[in-house]
Amino acid sequence: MTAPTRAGFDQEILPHLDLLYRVALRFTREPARAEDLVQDTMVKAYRNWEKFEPGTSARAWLLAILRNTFINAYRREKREPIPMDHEVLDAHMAAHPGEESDPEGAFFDKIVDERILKALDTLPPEFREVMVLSDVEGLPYAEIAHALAIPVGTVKSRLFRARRLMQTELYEHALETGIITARSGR
Amino acid sequence: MSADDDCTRVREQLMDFLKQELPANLAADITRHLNECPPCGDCAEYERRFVALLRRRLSGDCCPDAVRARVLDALRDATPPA
Repeated sequence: MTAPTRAGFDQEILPHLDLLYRVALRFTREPARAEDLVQDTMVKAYRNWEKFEPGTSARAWLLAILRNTFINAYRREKREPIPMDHEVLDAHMAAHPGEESDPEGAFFDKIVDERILKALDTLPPEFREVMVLSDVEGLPYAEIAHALAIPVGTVKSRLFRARRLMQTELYEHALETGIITARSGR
Repeated sequence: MSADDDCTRVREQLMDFLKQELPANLAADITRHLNECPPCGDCAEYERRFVALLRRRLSGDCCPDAVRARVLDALRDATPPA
C-alpha cells in the first residue's frame, strides 16, 4: 500500500473534472453554484483522499462527495418527498408515450437542446440525479448506487420512472409544437 | 411459455439489457426476441434513441478553463491529505 499523495490524487481524480462539472451543473442548474460546488467537492475530496480505497471507482467516490456537499450546503430549496403520483405511475407507464404515432421515437431527434435540458431540469431531483448519472454520463447501476447511497433496486425504479416522465414531457412538447401529429380516429 | 409472457419478460428486462447489465445468456435471449417481435423491437429502438439523445446532446460540456484553474488554486492552498 502506498501512502496517498497529491500526485495520486491528480492522477485518479483530475480526469473526472469534466464529468464533475456537468453533474454539478445539472444538480444546481446554475453555473455560479455549480462552480462553487465543484471547487468545494474537490477540496473535500483532497482532504479525505486517504479514505479512498484504491481499486474502487474513483468517480463514484467523487460523485458521492459532490452529492453530500450539494445536499448539506447548496440546496436552498427543500428536497421535497417524491409526490405519490410519481410512485404509483407504473400501470400507466408500461406503454411508451407516442407508441401509436411514433413507435420508434423518431421525434426525439427533432427536439432542440434547450427543450431537452428543460425537461431534464424540471424532473424531481431524485429522478434527475439518477437520469444524469445513468443516461447522460453512462455510469453502471453499481456506481450510481454508490454515488447516491441508495440500493441498486431503487436506482432502477427511479431510472424507469424518470425516463417515462421525461419521455412524456418531450412527447407532449412534440405534439404541441407540431413536430409530430397524433394519429386521430381509428 | 406463451408469446405474451415472452414480451412481458423482455419489457421488464429491457432497461438492464440496453445498459448492458445482463448476463450474456439472458442478453442473447432478448436479442433473439427483439429480432423476432416487431413491437418489442420498436420498444427497444425507442429507448435506445431516447438514451442516445441525452448522451449525445448533454454530455459534451467541459469544465471551463477558469473553473479548472480555480480548483487547482484551491487544491494548492488546501491542507494536504494526512
